[in-house]
Amino acid sequence: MPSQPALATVVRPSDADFSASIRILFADVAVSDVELAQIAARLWRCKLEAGEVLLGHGEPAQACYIISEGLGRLEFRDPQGQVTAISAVRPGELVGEAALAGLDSYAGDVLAGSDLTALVMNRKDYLTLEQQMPAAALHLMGAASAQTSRRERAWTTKITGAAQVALGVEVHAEPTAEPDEPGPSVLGRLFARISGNKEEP
Amino acid sequence: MTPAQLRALPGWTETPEGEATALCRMGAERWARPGGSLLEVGKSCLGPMLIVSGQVQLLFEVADFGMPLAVLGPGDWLSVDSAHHTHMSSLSARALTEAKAFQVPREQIEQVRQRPSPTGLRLLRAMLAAQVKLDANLAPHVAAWMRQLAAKRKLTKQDLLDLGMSKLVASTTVTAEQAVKDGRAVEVVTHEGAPIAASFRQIR
Repeated sequence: MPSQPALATVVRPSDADFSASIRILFADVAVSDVELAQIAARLWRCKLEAGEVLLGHGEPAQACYIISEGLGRLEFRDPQGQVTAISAVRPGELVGEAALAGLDSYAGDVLAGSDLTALVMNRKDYLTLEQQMPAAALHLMGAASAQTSRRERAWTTKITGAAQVALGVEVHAEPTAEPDEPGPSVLGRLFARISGNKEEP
Repeated sequence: MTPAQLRALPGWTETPEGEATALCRMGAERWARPGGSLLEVGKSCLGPMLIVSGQVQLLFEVADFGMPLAVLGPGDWLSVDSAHHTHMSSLSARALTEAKAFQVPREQIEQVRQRPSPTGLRLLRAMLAAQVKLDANLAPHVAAWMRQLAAKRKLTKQDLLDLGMSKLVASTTVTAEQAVKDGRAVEVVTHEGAPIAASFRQIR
């Protein structure tokens, strides 16, 4: 994990790389300018050359990283030392979710695939964000969770496709887009009614 | 689920009484018998599930083949991805023992995200931790499949077996044998579609 230099480059909400990566990270949610300012105030910028390690499996989870420029790759190293790249990491993606989740160590290796710039939030700064602006912390955790879901789905889709071909299973195209207005589930409607949500038709 | 049950789960022991009560009001309980399913491939899920008791096996399933990914127990989460979208599930989860889970509907999670609270932070943190653990469980399988796919354009049934998949009927029989007492033999008698449910009878 890169160490924070004494004079780390600060990040401002108006910085182009911050704006661009945050727009991708928070594509599904509306984040206020105040929340963005609070997030930016806790970030610092680090630069890596291609091949350098951003975070390593088993290392203490002391920070999370939002990739702002360049490409990274998530790798898996098996007990025999064989390394396989299992996912690309693009600008706007957050890695090191373990630091947000309160876990002790990272679960995988992330390396710079090209020269790479990442916006870093130290775990202690994230914890102060939770206390001072929980809404912004919730947005970060929610975005990290949604992104992890997409990555896991991409993996299982790839494996499913290969297995279906091998087994000769007829493939039914699954709709990839969300329905225009996904209605609440029966259970969801029940809870909305119990919690007094009057917006229910 | 009661607040006391929640506070007895790993990761939730420090939860204040008020927060535990609020969390317990957010969802509903689901039960599964040994071999029964809490999550099925190709079906959408109402929301994430916290396992309260029992053991649940997380599986990757295609047709009548399955590959076990992890055995989950009390305090673990299932189907966290359903908090974010209404896609069909790409994994399945089958109870190895009698299992109880607490399901929080997607709409409740959405409300939590819109109204910041210590409860919401605790809930999302627990779900994110579960996803990181699932990633760690998936990674070796994904790496093995990627290596195999890089070596061969089209996999064979033997490749699937080499990659850790097996006929689901075999794993169902094992589950059934574990569920019945006195080491009696079992026979799987019904198949519910491609994934096989825990329909078995004891051979007396």
